[in-house]
Amino acid sequence: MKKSIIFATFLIGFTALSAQIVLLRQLIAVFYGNEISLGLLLGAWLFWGALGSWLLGRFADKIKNRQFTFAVLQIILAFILPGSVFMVRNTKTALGILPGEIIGFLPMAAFSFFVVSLICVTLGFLFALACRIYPQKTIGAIRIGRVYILEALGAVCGGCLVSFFFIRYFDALYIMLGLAGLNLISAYLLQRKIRQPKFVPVIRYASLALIVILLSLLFSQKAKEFKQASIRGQWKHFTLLTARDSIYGNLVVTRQDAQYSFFSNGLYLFSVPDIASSEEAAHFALLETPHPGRVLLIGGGIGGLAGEILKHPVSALHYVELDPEIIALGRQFLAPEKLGFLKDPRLTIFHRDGRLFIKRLAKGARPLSDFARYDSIILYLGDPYTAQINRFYTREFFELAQECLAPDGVLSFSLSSAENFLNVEQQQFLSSIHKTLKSVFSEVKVIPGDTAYFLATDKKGILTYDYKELSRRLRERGVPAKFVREYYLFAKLSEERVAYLEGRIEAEKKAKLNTDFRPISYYYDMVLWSTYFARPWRKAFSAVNEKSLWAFFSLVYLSILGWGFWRRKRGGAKSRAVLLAVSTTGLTELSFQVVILLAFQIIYGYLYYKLGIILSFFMIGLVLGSWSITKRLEKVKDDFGLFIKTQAVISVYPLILPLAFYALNAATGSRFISWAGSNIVFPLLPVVSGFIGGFQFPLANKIILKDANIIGRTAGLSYGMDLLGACTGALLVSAFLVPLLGITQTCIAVAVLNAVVLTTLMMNRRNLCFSPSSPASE
Amino acid sequence: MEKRLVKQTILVLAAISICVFLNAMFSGQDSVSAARKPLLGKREALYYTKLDDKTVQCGLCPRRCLLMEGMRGACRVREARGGKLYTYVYGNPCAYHIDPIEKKPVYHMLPATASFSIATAGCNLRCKFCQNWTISQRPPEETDNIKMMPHEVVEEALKNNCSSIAYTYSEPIIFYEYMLDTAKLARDKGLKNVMVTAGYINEEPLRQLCKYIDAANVDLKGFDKKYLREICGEELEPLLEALKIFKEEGVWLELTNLIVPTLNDDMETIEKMCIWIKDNLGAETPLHFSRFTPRYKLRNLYLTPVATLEEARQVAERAGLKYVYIGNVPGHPAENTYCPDCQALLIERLGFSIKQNNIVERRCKFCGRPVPGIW
Repeated sequence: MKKSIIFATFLIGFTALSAQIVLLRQLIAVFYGNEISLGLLLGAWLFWGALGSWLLGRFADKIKNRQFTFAVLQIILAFILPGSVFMVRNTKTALGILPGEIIGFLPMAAFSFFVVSLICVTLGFLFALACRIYPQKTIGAIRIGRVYILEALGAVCGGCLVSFFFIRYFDALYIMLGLAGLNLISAYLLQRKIRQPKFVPVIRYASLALIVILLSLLFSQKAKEFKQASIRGQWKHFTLLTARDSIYGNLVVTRQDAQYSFFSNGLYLFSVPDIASSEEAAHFALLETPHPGRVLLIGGGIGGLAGEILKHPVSALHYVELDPEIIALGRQFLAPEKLGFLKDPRLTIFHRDGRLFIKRLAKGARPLSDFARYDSIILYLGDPYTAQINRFYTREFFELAQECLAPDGVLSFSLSSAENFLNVEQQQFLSSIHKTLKSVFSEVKVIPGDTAYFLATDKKGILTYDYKELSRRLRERGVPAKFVREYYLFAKLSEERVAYLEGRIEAEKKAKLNTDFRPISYYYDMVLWSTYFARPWRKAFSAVNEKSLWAFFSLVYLSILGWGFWRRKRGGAKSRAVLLAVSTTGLTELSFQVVILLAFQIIYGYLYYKLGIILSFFMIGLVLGSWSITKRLEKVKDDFGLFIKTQAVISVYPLILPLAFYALNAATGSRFISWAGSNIVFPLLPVVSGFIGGFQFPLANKIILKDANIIGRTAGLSYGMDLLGACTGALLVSAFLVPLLGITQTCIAVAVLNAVVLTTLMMNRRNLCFSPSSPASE
Repeated sequence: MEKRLVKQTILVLAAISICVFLNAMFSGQDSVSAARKPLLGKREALYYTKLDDKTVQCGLCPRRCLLMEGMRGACRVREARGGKLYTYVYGNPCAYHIDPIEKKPVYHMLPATASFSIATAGCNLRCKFCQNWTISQRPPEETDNIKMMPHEVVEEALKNNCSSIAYTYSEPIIFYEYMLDTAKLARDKGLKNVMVTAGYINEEPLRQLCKYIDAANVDLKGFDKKYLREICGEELEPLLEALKIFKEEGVWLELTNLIVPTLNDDMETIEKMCIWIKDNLGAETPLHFSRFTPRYKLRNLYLTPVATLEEARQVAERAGLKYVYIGNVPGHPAENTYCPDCQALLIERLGFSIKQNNIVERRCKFCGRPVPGIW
């Protein structure tokens, strides 16, 4: 029986993280995937987990047949898991969203809160129950600690398996069905040897029967039909050719007439044929380049851009595309005559992170020879709506690009703009990137339109708005362009429109530079996105800034201190202070995750597997931490003293992180140090962060249990607080703190928060633990 | 302990939300929207009914907004104050450019001339694909406006060698008073007046305006009531009425139909629309099928396939329309004007520029057939 409980506990974590990965990916493909919506989705997940474990955890002690309840919940979960995928895929139909329409902030928040609620509440409750049914040989806090460890181990396994393997080979629905199967098996095992109550056999046979049904479903056509129906729901009104998951995201190809359109994570990428867009991106960049010999293209090539570039007399085109699946889909669906450029000997395709590609060139062992430099670098990545894409628009990236460019080489990229009137938010967004570009290159020009083309070079007098000169180059090079010809250039480069755009961009003085460690442009893009919706949202978004954030933090700090002082002589004050510490640790741990993942991408590039490993190391740190304390929990005498010490470490560690980042970033010049940094030092950072959190949690439970010795309730409460803190972190850190304050200040803010909590703990040090009202049930 | 803790947590969360809200309200020094002082051209509006001391009803467009003291109309620019209705955009446009007349698009009027184009903030529609949403879906307080009174608009147009003034980009109906006064002055100075509109306006103000308007390009956004209501926020009947009035009043009328893939690319509806145009506005009314490109709220929808536009053009020609164009696809042969009789190329366009013009004295140079328009 013990084994079945251990398995069941392990399965909670396994199911939780697997379902989280699968469902969040599905939700991102439905909603717009910028940092605020990502934060919202993750926040919703953690919020319901907190509510489930806290509020329902209170019942865990009252229920008589806990193991039975546990099994029933697992059976219920088996239905909810696949059901939720079906629900997410039919969101648009349910909300009456038009094809291709972006979804408003409120419906998005409401719907994601609704969809994840059932799963998360159930899982949270299961956690509290697991602490209660765990074999009773040890003291309460150790039991909670063990459950926590098992759950985290399950999460590590689930996370790794799903994100590295399952997601590539199986549809989300199948993964959920698999998880459902595991939960049914666990439910059956839990009920196998129990005689009471009388209706238990019913559950046992029911779970068996469901397993059989599930298996037959998986191996029959029904599952496939079910899957097709759910995907069709998501892409209603479109003629869907394929929907495929790569490790990087969900890719979809649709067709109407002879036009193929590509979508990634629900976002429109490009259509083929769309000659005008490809011509604009290729020809504006290359006509402004006096001698386009070697060209580097980052993103977008398969949509026809690479073909347009090769119409110029280039000697080599290096095309960097992160996701090989995009090229594979292109090859599969596009007509061979549209893909002629793939056979061109001048073209070389690299499948890696563009930023990493450039960094390796610029910071390689040998300095770049003039021969190896590029005459033109073209970015085709769209607007920086996430921290990940924003890495291509920072000052540091522009500096790297500058090092890879020939003296008269040109960097170019396009951003959304407006032809007739730039609103204040667009002005701010474009201005921050323009300013950043200007801080690196000596000459910058922008071609106006609904898509604005940015051009930058270091040699004065190369870039021109003179349409005649550009048309002359076009003729000279014999480029057979369909759209971008003299008449088109004339209209695009109208003196009046150019002056208007430049004037508007330069009039905005307050926009800040976009740097790696303070990636503010994606925040500006988020503000711009908020202007699509109701006025309160855009007011709220545009009112948040560095000053108001610090004012807010000061208020929070003061309130915590005031509260600690006010409560210090009352009963149960110690437990409350400890609970507060648990929730701020939850927030801190989430900030660590966000900051470490971002810093890794900045310093070493976007490497899917390594990012996965970093996340796993985080969980492993958590397991190690809670394991090392749980095994000697009984022996610890001054538990509160030890708790205060861990809190002190949590207050200092955030300050070490930015120092480590700066040191590692500076040391990427040498190949060995760079290797050691990315493979040894960097993974240690999440291990340590996880360790501190994992170490503190069982200790907290021991202290609280002294106050009120009710395991289910305590476990639910502390776990809930941990998740609530993490939920706040999810909403705040990547959407607001990192872009507005930068990584360093974010770490400082978090460190101060922990120091404030530490002070509150110290104030309560001499306080008695027992509160007169708490009953002692065990 | 538990209950109290729940209460306290709720209190703390509430306090934090209040802090965030207050923060958002008052810490605007550095922020985007609060930094600028809006320029508002306040003037009493035309066409409204006073219902009582505090309530007025706007009579400009079919929405007929009922406005209590301090309320704004759906257009975001007309406000009730002290029993009167005021427009807040008189003489303060936020967008002003010099565009080729082909860009409006108006193809049958003074080809290859420049048009001085102005717009203010606001719009009485809510199209989810709006190209100019940065102006149209904002109140004038949130755009950067300049002061340009009607006589200054006319002076600027003349100074820049424009043959016409275009009221365009957002919806000119909502800056009705400003447009009307400018149009009167412009006509006196020999300039043409062009209105690029969705045509969602009531009869009385429209008839008054038509006295001064020479040409209009009206967006007949669709012919399906549900589509118009849900995606654009307008009703079909008043729009069709307005189109007939334009025709009756002798304004040169061209129509634009934006084809949005999967939403209004149904050929049967397009056919119905074309037949209605032919029966009510005449077969010689130019119709532009415009290509949708992803923008505003429909930014995840793909662009209209060229084949769809070509099919729509065929449908329109089969229905009997004589001048059917395809817009937003530069270089497409359907950008050109052809003679309906001898099929000769009359005006060759490339984007917004004119390559050749074979209309002589309002007639086809080759067969002599009159070509309607303002030449």
